Amino acid sequence: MNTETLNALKQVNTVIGQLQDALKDPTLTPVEKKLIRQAVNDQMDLQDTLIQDTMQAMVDKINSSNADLQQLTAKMEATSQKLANLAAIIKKVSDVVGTLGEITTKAMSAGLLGGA
Amino acid sequence: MKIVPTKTFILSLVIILSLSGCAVLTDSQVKNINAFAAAAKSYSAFPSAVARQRAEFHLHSEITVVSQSQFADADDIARRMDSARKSYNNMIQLSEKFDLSLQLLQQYAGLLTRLSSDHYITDLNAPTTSLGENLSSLVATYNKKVKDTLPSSLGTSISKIILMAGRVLTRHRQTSALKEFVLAADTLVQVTARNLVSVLDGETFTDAAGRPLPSLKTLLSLEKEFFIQSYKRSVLSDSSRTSYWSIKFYYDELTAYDNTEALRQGVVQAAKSLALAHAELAKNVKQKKELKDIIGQTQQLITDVQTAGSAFSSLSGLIKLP
Repeated sequence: MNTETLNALKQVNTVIGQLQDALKDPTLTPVEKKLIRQAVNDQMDLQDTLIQDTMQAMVDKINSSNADLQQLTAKMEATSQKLANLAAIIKKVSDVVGTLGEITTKAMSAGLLGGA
Repeated sequence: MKIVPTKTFILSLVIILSLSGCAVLTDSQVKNINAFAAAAKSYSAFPSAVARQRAEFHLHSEITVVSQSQFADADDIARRMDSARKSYNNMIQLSEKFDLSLQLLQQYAGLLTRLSSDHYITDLNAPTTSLGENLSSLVATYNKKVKDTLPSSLGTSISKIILMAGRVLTRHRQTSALKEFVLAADTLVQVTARNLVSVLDGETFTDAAGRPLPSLKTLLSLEKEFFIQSYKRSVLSDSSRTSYWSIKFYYDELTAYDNTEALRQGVVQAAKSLALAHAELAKNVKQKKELKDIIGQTQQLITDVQTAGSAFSSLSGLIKLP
């Protein structure tokens, strides 16, 4: 398996360690020290870049199904709303039947609607 | 004309029975969907915590490297810390995105809870009371005017029938939707959990371009090695810098690594349980049947989410710079 990024990260970590050791040499001139510090800095930038690319790829992979999941939840929201509407319609129907019953009662009481 | 009320009841009964025969899931199946949804709703915010913690560790390692006494150059340190801060901020922003798919699964679980709740049916209780009263009043008035009287309870009976029919119809629609959504979501849940596990576990994962990249487990392990290596070189090997507090920081940092690793393992286990529990749930709602208890995989999911939650709690406020 090609594990370029992993191997590169391991190498960068090793190189930073070696540069840290090199920096301890008391015979180094200020210019040499500056160059080593610059090299440490460069290696740490490279390390950050490798890690950031990897983390971005992780995020992309984890979220690869998000669009489909969003579609599903939107459909579920719509269905929930439809169910609530259905209950509201049943409620309305029962209210209408109830009101009709009331009107009919009043009409019968007033003799507008006849019995026997 | 002689009205025979039993005919009305028989007709109503036939309608209700035929409607109830259409119910798609049993109450025990709906109860299992509810149990799964409740457990799934508790599972979130953990993958981002692992990623965020790794970013914290890396920042500490960078500070450790430049704190080496031989590095002592103000400009070089300032330049490094600028880069480190930018990198840290990017990592924190990326970390937050680790939870997005789980947040969507949580939303899905929340909607499952809503779709399986009784509140649609409860809404149908109110109008039928006034309806029953109005119809009973109509029956009483009718009975005063005609010879062939109606049973006084007819109004209440019609009211009950409308309520029952409404309930049965709503339940039918609810269970039908639940079944459809659980089955449709299963592939997405499996893919999401599998992707999460592949990114968090194992040595490497494959990105969209087919490149093998280090997993979060590997990055965490490399970070720990890097910290140990850097701290030994910068602090522990320098007698002028070793103190109770510098050693205590070293110890605390290693403990935090262990806790983060425990959290990572908990997140992986919970993701696997989530996938298993949903697969079992989907299998169990394919056919209408009675389930004796909450499915074992859902119970395991509840346990695993709680374990991850405990590991998450143990991380809070653990790391302090010396």
